[in-house]
Amino acid sequence: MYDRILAGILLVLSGLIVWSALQFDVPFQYEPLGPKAFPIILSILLSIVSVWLIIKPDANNWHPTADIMKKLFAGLVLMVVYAALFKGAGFILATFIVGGAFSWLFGETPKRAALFALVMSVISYFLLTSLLQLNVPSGTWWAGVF
Amino acid sequence: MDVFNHLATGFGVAFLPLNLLLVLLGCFIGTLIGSLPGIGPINGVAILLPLAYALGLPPESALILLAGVYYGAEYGGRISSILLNVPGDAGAIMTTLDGYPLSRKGEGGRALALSAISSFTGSMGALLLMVVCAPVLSQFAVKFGPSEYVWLMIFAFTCLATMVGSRPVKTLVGVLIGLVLATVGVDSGSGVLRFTMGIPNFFDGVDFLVVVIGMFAISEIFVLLESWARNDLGVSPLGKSFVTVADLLAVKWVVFRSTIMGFLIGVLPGTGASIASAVAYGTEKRFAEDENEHFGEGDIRGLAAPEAANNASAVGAMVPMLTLGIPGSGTTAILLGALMMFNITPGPLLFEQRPDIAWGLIASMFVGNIALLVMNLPMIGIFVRLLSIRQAYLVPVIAMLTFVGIYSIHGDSFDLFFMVLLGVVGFLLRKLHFSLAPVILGLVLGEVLEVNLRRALSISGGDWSILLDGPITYVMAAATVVAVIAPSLMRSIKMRKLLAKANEVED
Amino acid sequence: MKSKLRILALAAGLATAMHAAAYEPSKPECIAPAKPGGGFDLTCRIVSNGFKNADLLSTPMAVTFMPGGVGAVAYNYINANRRDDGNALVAFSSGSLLNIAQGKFGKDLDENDARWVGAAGVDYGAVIVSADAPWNTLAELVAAVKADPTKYVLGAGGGVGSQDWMKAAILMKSSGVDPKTMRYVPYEGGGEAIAALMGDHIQIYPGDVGEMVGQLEAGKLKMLAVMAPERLEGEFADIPTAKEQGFDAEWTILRGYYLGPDVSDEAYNYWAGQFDKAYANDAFLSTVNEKGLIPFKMSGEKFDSYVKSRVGYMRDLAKEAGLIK
Repeated sequence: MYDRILAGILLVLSGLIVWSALQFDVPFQYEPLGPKAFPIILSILLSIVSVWLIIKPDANNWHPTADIMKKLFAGLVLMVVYAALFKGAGFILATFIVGGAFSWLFGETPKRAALFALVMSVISYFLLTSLLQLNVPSGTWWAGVF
Repeated sequence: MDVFNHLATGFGVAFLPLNLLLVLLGCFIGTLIGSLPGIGPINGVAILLPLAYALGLPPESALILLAGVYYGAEYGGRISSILLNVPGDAGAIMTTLDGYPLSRKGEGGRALALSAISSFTGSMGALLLMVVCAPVLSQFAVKFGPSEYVWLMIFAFTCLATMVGSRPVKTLVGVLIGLVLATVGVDSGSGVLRFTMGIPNFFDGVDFLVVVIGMFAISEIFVLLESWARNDLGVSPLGKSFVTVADLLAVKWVVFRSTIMGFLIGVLPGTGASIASAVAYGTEKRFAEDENEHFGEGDIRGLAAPEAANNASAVGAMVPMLTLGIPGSGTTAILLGALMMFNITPGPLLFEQRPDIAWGLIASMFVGNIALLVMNLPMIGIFVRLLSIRQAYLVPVIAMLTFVGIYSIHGDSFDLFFMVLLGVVGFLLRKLHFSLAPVILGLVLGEVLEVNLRRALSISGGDWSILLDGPITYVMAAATVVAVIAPSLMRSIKMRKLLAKANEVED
Repeated sequence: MKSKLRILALAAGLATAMHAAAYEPSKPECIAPAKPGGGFDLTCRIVSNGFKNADLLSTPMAVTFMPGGVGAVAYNYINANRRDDGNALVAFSSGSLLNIAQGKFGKDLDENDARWVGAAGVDYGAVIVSADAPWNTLAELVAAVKADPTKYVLGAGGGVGSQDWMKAAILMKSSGVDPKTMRYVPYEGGGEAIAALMGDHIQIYPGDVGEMVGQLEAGKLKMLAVMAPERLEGEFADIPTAKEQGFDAEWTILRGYYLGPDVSDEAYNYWAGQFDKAYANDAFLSTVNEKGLIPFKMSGEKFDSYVKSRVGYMRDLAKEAGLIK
């Protein structure tokens, strides 16, 4: 069943690709293929294998329980939050919040998770910026404050 | 002989205390950077470049440091591939396929040791090849035109056709998804923007590293979450396994072939470690259809081939950079930029005008590789302990490193959101028994294939016969045909042997 | 009216600048809209090292990278997030301007969405062929191409609508060949195109003068013409311009910096003034030369209007070539 859903999505996607490839406004090209041919050929192939997958899908053997779905969703939310906070709140705060939450999600007690996240975010901030010279955000929201 | 004189000059430079220190430092930092998911050789070199410049190092020393970081990172990429199923950099994707299953079986130590030795052999073999035939090879590299690239890509796809995955159709879907992703961005031929949805972050295409890290590292976090919810975070048995002489003998020809393939692919401009390791893996799998073949489930050949190839290609990429001033990969492009900053123009005259730089670098690579092996083997015990770290601590660290690594490419949150999205897609694909490596390879190979096919047709004005023009194309086409029929051929030979045996028994 | 106000503001700004350094950036930064090691990186190094060498900075200038679309990502970023930040100089090239002219920096953004503040330097187009090619002058090459435009292949580091393609198209147009009939192959950057030239996959490479430093000496390539208004100095002094060979083919590669569209006049004039000081300083000029560029001394409002006129010229070229309507 999941295979069929995926194949359906891919089928729609390949239709969209063809449709939007046909919209390309090409001033002129120096070879017969141009920018349109490759995507169109690919989406035709993609639709063929999708139909194949719809006709002969694999049996479902992924049966996530409610608890699994809850945990997966929590992980997703955490990562989206991390992405949203990363630049604005800065590495240390974002990593502290999300790292602590992850640690707690994986069964650590809240207190120890917070302590671990604090140590990890502070130490790695200095390691990453000084030792590796990486571009680690210090937080644009605080730019005016400090 | 001339070469030995030059090498002697080179070792004179490489053995200066400052340079010895720098090569060790570079290799160490490189291994570290390579082993962090999301931060690869490109970042490593880019990070240290301003530093080397600011320190006021002489050019040969700066280059020795940066090159050490480069191949050190190629070395380090395998560690998290094998232990965590998270490739440390793009060249280490194929290493996950057989490396991770080995470590799940408690043979992490064996896998790490074997891959270290394969990497070492790959680099050393490639270095020897470079010393002996760099000038010839630079000629080979420029003769390799668009048609030849097209064949190389077709050959690569043929080898991959029987790659991992539960069903061929699913491998095909994966490859196609990758190929479609490769078309996003400004079309290099016509300048038309394709499938960018008006988002400027997509103008240069989907960043390869974001896809790799999203699909592998982020989806791995979801996999760990699910296992945790199921309460089967099966901690891999640690075991004290180490590589055996029998292992090394079993892979000696695999390593030999992969080194040559990896080196040659590395020499070509525009193809790097990821393509080299994929072709090596695909070829070995294609030609190893014996009864003991279990590629994808922890076959040591599947581990040795990509590791030898990706390190050999890192060396190979130096050839066109040093001899022609043309970068063979993204990382060597930065090295080239570094040379320019020191007012040194790489190119045909580099070996004549500044032999101290060219040969000093080559000699230091010999030193660096020995240092890497010596550094890595004793540390395997420590690396393996990574596996005993509780997920409650490991997952936050993986998440942090991937976010830092991806953010550092463009300094933009957009990539982070896109990476998470790709992580979800990657997780769902994995749950439906798709292998993710084909997606990545489709992404890499697709671009090279389309661009070169269209270049070839631009040159010929639309005449397809250009694809079979010149000796290299004939050879490549023949190799492709062999790759297509090899498995069935091998099977029939085996059948005949079995029949012959059966007949003997009857007689 | 608006421009008059600007001039007034400029005059006022200059006056303040003369009295005292009214504005001083707290955290000067140069944004290179490319990965490290690329052309934009060098452009940023010119200002960060050049200003340092010329003692024009009290705080060291950081270089940050924001690759994407020849500067499109940085242009959008500045316009969305740092419209009035006087700290951030952003590097651009005429390749960026060409994309702005074709509307490839986003639908709502054009050359009026930035304050163009100063030039780093210029480079010029060059017509490069293999050393064993049968031609020694541009006229010989053009005659051969005219006889059969499909026989010789031009190749360069970008596709239709890119700067390198423009050079090829201008060269063909100046010799009376329709750019649409030429054989043209796009490569990924100049390095790949040079490799293709050495491998004889292409025969003519309209490249840049700057990337040929040291390459001519090696004897594998030769340069038939520089696409500059007049002869260059130094290593390339012997190479005639296209113009003196009778072909109206000129291409100036401009590299410089802009500030956000709402940056205050004080900040704008501060930077323009710093550039003026730099242009009079030998340490800065030698930094420009080291990075393979020829000094180009223009800053402030004059530079702003120069850039805008360049974009206008490019828009006309693109229209003429049928790239935009």
